[in-house]
Amino acid sequence: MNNINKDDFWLILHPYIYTHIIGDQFLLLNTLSGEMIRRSDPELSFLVKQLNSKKNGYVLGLSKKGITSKKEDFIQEIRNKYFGDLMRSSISNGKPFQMYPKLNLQNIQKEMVYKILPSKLLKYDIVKEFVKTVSIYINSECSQSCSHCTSSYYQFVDCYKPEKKWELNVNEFQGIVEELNGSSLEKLKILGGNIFCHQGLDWIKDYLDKIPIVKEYYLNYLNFIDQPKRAQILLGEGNRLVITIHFPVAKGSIERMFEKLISGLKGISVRFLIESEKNYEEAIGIIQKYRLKDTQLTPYYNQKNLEFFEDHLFITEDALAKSRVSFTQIFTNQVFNQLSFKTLTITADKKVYGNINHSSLGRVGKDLLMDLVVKEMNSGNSWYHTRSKVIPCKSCLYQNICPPISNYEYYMDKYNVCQIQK
Amino acid sequence: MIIHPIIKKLIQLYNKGVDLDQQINERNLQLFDIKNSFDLEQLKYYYTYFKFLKENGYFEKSKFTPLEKMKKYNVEEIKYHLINTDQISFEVTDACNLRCEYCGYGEFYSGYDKREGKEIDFDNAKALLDYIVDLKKSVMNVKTYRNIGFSFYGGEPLLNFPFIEKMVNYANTIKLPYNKFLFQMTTNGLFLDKYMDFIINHDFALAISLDGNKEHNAYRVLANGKPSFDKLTKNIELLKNKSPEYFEKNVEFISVLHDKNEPYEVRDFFMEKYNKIPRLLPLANYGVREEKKEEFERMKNGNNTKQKISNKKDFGDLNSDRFIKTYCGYTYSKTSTLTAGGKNHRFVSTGTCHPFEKSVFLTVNGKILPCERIPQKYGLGWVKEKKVELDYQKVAEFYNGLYSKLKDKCNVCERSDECLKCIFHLDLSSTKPECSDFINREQFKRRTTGILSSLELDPKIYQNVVGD
Repeated sequence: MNNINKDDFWLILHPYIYTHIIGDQFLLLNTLSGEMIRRSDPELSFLVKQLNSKKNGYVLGLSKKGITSKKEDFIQEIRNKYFGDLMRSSISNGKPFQMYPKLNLQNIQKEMVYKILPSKLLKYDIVKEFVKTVSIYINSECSQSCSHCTSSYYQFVDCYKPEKKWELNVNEFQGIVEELNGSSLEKLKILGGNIFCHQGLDWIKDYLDKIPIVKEYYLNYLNFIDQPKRAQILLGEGNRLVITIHFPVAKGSIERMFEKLISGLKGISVRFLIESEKNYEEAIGIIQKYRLKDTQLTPYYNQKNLEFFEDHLFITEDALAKSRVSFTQIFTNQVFNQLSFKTLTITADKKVYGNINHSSLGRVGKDLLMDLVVKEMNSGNSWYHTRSKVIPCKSCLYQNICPPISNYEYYMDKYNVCQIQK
Repeated sequence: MIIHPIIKKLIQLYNKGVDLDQQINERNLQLFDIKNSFDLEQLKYYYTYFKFLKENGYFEKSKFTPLEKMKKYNVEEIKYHLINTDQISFEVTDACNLRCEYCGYGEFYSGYDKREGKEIDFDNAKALLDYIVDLKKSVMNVKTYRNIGFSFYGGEPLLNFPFIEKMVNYANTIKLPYNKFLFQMTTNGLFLDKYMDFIINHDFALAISLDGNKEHNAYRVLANGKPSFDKLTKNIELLKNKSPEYFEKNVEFISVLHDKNEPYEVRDFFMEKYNKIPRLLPLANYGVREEKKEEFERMKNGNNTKQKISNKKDFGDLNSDRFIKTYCGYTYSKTSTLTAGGKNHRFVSTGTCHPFEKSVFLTVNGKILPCERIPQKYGLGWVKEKKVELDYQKVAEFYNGLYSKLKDKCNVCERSDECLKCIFHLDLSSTKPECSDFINREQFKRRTTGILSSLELDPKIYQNVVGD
């Protein structure tokens, strides 16, 4: 609307406002305050659509008589909450220009070309930029029989004992690490089974010690108790030992465990699997009693505790508002799944995954890791799996504001782990 | 961001240190004298909005790191950048079998060492390589798991193939624990027919210079003045037929833009003929001889290359493009930078790389340079008689001295947020070097106003830049 009269108005949305419109519904988020305005109304939705259109770019000409009482109330609300403004057209000679928010990945086109024509150089570029964290399961053998074993693995990075025994020998392990040469690898996670059952663990540790990236070794606390001194050998510059405790704990085991842990030892992180409020209280009790500093409380879904998840973990609108989601987060959520993006998991049977809940991309030894990265980018369903691709999120106004799809959701096969959709 | 005139006035008064709370409470409306009429209620509204913006970081003087603080090097930093260099490059020979009219070592330019048909000394090159390999074994090598570019430049590098062969064979005997060499070469391709087996077998990343079709390529002529196009394209066909897979994976084209070609036509040529998108480069506009400037400008802009680019929708408006990318906050160079977050810190930067960060370049004369694209007079060290002479302290002092010369200019330059200028492309002989990209506050305002006005008139410029 460029032929605006001097008595008319410019309705303006501020550039820090995120908009999402689906049919007659729309959501406006003030990324500075976290406040949201949500409506289901054809007239107002049309108004927001107009504002959001490429033609108008967050600035819409409105004649005095075109402002209905409904629009007036809405405009009043967006002014009061600093979402936008209504200014007399006389404030400027022409239509004011707003740098409205629109994600532009300048080289996404180029990245797509890389995907189509992956030359060696370009492949190198892809791997360099797109591999950050790799989890390697060096074996699957373990003498424990933890009840959570076969399911926790799909929910978060954790040790795993499948029925069959597998092991990566040291040459295969070295081959994987060497293949990652040239990438932006920042962290390697080493897991089993019980990694202590791997004959070449000491060699692996010495080999990795020379590489200045973060290494995390994962152990179940029951395996730690068996060989505490060996576990402590795994520590060193850049190394971290993650010990997982699950409830109910074996009688006296916690006492034994912390007796054997050298007090004040750096680099050990204790992770508690939490299935219920009771577990939570127990974990807090242990943390306080032993004055643990580096701890993690990791929710675990046991297929019977959905209520616990609903009560404590499902996202609410309030929580989203308080979290003050930034445009960077919104854009990120639009493009890729930040939880899976740039991560690979290699299991002891040599299969490679973009996410352990999805089908494998290929096998080390048979495929080149860099080819599998390209495959994940081209046709994988993990790294670029955003909420806009799943039901019911794809029809939800909050799809780009909510955190990315988590492994819990994949495991539950349920994507609306929230209390937002009405 | 569009703001109401009252907010503008509030910002002005705030910057002058006026106690806005007091003035508004005392209803001192004259102080807020602005063109459009308004009442106290409006003033109060905008003042609350002003405070909201202020709480969220607007109007704050951004944290500011002046140039000399940001770029104050010491010995350790020089060593760090050298250890972590991305590339080791060799000027294999200063001879060339082409006489490209726009050549960076040709009549248009100054600042490079005299071309005498010299070849690089293998022992000296080996000494430099050994020196860097030794450094790479240090714990300061943080770029583990990265390939190191191992590059051959010229002149025309294939004119000294024995060096390349010897150097590649030697490099292949070196075992770097956590890095690998990636052989690279930029060539005019006229000797490809002779050496392609070696190039393919050693998996070279090959950049071939070709400006487009025969007409586009008219400046790239042989020593006898005849066109090089036919010979080169014949060689490219040979390479393509010899190993289609290698050609697809390892070969890229570099095209220089000038008055005889056009970006879209060049791109179409390469897409059609080789299914590749070429890397388009402008003519280097630094170090141009005074007496050749007019001729150079004709070649550079005679056919209005810049304009041709800016007229093309998806090349964007060059002036606004950079401005929007810097200030709108919604453009990201690639997915991997998306998570880096917004800017909240202002640097007085230049486009100059840290010394040796990107490259260590050894010339035929034994000079060590931080890049092959800077005038060769800025050598930072030598390799003589198999000995590397590189004084980190002197390198640090040299850079610090240059930044010290520039600080007065750069610290007040309103374009420093978006600066891409390499300082080695300035005339550094002066105690107060001039920079063609410098703009002061007034010029910035004018430029900003101009860009915003053009965006008001043609919002498509913005749409193109943000990809809408």
